[in-house]
Amino acid sequence: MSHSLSDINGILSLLISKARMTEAELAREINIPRATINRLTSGKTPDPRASTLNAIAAYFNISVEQLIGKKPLLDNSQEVISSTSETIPVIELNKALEWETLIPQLTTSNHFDFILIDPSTCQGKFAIKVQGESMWPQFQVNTLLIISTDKIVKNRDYVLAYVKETNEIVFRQMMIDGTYKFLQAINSLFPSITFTNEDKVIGTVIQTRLNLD
Amino acid sequence: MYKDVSMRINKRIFNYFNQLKNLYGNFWSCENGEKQYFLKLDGYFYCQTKKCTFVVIRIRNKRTAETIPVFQIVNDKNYLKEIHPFDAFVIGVLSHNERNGIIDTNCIGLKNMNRTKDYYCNTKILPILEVCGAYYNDKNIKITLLKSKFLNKQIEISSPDLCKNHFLIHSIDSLQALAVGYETSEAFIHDISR
Repeated sequence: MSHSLSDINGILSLLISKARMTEAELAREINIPRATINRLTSGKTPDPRASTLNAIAAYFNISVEQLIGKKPLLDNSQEVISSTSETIPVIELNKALEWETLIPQLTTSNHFDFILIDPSTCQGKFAIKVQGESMWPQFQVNTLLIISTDKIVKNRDYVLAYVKETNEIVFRQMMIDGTYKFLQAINSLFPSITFTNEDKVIGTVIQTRLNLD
Repeated sequence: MYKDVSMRINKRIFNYFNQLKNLYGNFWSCENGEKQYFLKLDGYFYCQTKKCTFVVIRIRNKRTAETIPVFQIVNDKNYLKEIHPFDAFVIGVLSHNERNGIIDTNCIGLKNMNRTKDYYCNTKILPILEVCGAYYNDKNIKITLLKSKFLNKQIEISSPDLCKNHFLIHSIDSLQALAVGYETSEAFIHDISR
């Protein structure tokens, strides 16, 4: 097995980079400690466990022989990897209310802003960008919010809600106190909004991403 | 020759002003060319009459200090950029605690001010880590993703663990450290309300 160890680190690094993911993300996906992945990619593990190799090979949809370099890695790895991830559109805040009708119409030809998500860990339907400073400093301007429309709203969840009184869509924290609900901004300069039965929760924030480049 | 003399005179004049401005604090680069965080969080206290938490911001190594309500300083980016990330983190925690009605009863009034430590390097360095995202795990604990600016590496850490590891907070930007302070306080409140 020792002759193939040098191949494991190269092949695994290649697979990770092609999948546009980090070692930590892979570790999370296959439920293996990040340090184990790191030792494999840096060639520090003298004798990796079969369970580790099987999990990695299964995730990338290749055989263990391909992973350890005994069989050639076919150039379809990119397709295999892209099949494990999914894209969701980044839409504008004011269009979030019509997401159900809007999202099926969006394709790469008429919309340019899509992001990759992993459907196994993230049930996001769409993403929006934070505008304004109502949620400053916790959510800075241009932070991407991945919204799930299936999650049941709980106390202190960050939600995207439609307020009928002002006819606007807002991103706030939902505070539930018995039967009384209100939407609170992080920034104390913005007032709280009472959430009535006429208002509607569009979705809950399940993930945030910052692109600082 | 003439050029050398004029340069020497210019340098002396510059040094004079350099020393003069240092009477009030290191607002610009030091002699070695490095910038410093010239403000520091001296402490914080709760004012019962005004019903808000105040932070005391002091010019580093000087006696000049200013008392500012915490809700005011979190919206003042000019102050925040000149504060060390760990101080910004503490301000974030205080601000979010106040927003949720949590006050420290041990520091009511200026006399009982809770003083913060000053045990870190105050040189302004380029942040080596940046917060690139966050998500909630299966146990509904917020996990923060810290990305290295120079390596393709990522650290995943829960907000309470990040709070304990001050070295990680030192390596991020002050404004992001403020946000991390908010998230840590939020995670703490989540735990209590569960």
